[in-house]
Amino acid sequence: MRNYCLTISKKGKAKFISHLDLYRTLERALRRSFLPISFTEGYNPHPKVSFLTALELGATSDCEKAIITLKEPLPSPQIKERLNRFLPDGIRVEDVSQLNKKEIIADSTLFILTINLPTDVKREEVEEAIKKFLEAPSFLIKREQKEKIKDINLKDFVRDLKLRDFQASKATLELLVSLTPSGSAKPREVVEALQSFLPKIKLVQVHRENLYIKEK
Amino acid sequence: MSFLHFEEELLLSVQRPARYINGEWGCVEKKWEDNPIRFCLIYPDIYEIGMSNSAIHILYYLLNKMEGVICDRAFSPWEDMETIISSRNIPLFALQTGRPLSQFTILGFSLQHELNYTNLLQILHLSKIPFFSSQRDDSHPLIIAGGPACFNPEPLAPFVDAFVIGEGEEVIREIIDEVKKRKRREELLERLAQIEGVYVPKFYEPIFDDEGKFLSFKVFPPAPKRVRKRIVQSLEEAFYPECWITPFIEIVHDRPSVEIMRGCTRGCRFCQAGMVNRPVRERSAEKVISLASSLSSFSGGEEVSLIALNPADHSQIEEITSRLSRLLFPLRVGISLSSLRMDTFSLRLAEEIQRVRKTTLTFAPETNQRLRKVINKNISDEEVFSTIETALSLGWRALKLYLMIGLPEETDEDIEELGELIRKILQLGKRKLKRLHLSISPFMPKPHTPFQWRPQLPIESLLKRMQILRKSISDKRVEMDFHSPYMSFIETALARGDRKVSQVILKAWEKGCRMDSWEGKFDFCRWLEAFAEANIDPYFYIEREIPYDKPLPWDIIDVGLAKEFLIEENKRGTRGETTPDCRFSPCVQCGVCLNFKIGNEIASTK
Repeated sequence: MRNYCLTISKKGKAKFISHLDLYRTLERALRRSFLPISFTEGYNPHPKVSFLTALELGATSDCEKAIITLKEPLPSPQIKERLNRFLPDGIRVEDVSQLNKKEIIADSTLFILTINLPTDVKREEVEEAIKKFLEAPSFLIKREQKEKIKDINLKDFVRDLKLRDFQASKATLELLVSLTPSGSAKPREVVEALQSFLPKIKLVQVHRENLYIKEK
Repeated sequence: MSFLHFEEELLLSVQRPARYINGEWGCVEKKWEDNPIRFCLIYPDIYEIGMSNSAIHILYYLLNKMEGVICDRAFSPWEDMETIISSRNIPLFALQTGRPLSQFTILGFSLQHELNYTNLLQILHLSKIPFFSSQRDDSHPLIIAGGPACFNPEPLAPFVDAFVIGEGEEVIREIIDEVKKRKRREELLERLAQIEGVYVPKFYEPIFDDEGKFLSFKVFPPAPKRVRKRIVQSLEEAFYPECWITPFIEIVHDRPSVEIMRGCTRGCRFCQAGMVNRPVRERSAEKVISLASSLSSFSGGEEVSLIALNPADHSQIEEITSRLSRLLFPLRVGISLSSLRMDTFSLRLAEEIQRVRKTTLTFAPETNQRLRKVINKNISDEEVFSTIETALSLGWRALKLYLMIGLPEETDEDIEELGELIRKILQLGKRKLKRLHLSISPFMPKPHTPFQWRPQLPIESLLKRMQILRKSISDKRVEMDFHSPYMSFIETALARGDRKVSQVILKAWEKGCRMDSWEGKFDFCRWLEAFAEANIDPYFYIEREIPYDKPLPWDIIDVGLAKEFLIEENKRGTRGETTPDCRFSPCVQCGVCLNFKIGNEIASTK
């Protein structure tokens, strides 16, 4: 049994596919590929596939990470090539790496956020809003979860936020957040937090540029 | 602008946006410009329902394989999407090409049941295409419809240019050939009317008496006096795809399926499918196994379905299931059968195929033992009990039963007896049976069946019988879902309707009726208002016992059955006399084989 970590990109129309649907798509591509996949035991067997973390509907990504188990070792390029033949447009395996015995988990992720701004908003104003957010000792928000309202401190999860690019009416931000067993901050929530300093901005696109992993 | 006709981010505001994005595994990419015949397959309900229908997949590949033809798909948008497009004045567009439906050469509607009729009008409305065939001209697409609901085409006749009656594989090619040859609509309709299995309403003018009762048709040449259903002589030779469109999102029936046989001669007297799809034609084990394994490896899904009206009746079913389950086991692909008979043979099959994953077992005992003779469903209570006992001993814990109420000859006592049958099943199940799902539908008299003359039970009586059944079963393991008698009322009015009923459909649409098969969307009051405004009495179509000598609007469709056979079967029903299956006993003179010069085609005897 060998475990492999797949790095998968999700672009174009594929952003309208939910995380669960991406999972099912990968599962199906694995069956189509005739790779020597292993299956879970029991009542309802499935190919062994697990994603390190989920991506919200509407976001694009350069690196979703999924771990698959093969019954026998195969060269990584071969796995990549075989899977890509059986994936629909917009979903691609970008990289395959063999994992050693140690288990890996997600550590943090880098999002690129595209936001729309009114034309009269200046670069400094955006930078100022980011600074205010970063300097705040805490930033509490309410999150609805399973019909309960939960208090979340965004600052527990946001490691970094900076302006990457600024044009009239449009800006891109880099957002680095921790992914922990107790949760994370969602890009939308961070932009909503920024809106309390700069009300006129609007989030238009979330893109995951990187997903950092660590050994468990 | 993207593939959509509006800002992409709006798509994130609707439920399940992947319904509208196309690009699923298995889509065929053909160019609009290179293919002069543009066909759009339309299922008038949402994507998840439409894509669950195997006819859509079969026709999609069949049409796309034809030279000069591009086939796209469209479904009813859910109301959130509908609001987006109508508020922006964007016409409804097809999934793949993104073209407005009005730009296609042919729009082909798949009509599975009557509660989709207002959706058909809504799709035309969203496409800015005139509703009435008589109002359309050469600038509009040809509008055709096919599927089980077309065996009585009259209620939709003014809206559809041509109906395909019966099996579509061959006739659709012939229709396209005519469309390729002819540019003028008038001339085209004349040609289409001469194709066997095509009903062009324009050539049939219904005549009503002074009271507004249907009398007969005035038929205009060159159309035939009656339209014979189309039938594929050999299923073995018929087209079947080896690819399947594999949706991103979970749909109702989320798997490819292989039609293993067509037709059923068991002869249940209420069953329209069993009457209009005769005779039985089987696909050989060899072919079924090859198709199923191709489809399975193509789709990569966890299941393949073998479909037929009664799959366990296939003469080679054991060979099919045992070989196929061995073939598919390495990839943990399961097999499902579209339905099971209540006998131990079927259970052994279920055992074989559910080695990968055990799902709920579904049976259709329909009613109590006495009424089973009336409807010609020939299983005894002993068989019901022993099947369930065996199922439980083999490890199944969840069962689903299909039942009907309001059957001909049924009394309140029969419902009490049915309740007793269920209680006995629960006793039998003791601790083993964890869940018993009862799916209960009102009996609806369907055209071309022995019960086509029977009245439907009034809504109040149906509700009362539901109540009796509900009261007689008090067990936490039981979950009952009743098909709404209000919906059934409308379904039967449309199913047995004549051309006048088209006015009701139009009125109902005007009043906002849409998505009528959806609980929560269906609006009974609006439908009753529509009947009232059209000055049409719904009870006339629903609760009346029709005399044998009265002409029926669907007599114009010849499905091959002799009327004498249907009458005799109806009478035998009253007497509680069963009629055997002609595969295992002498011919029952239903008329189909004689009419079509065909016979049951059984794979094992070839």
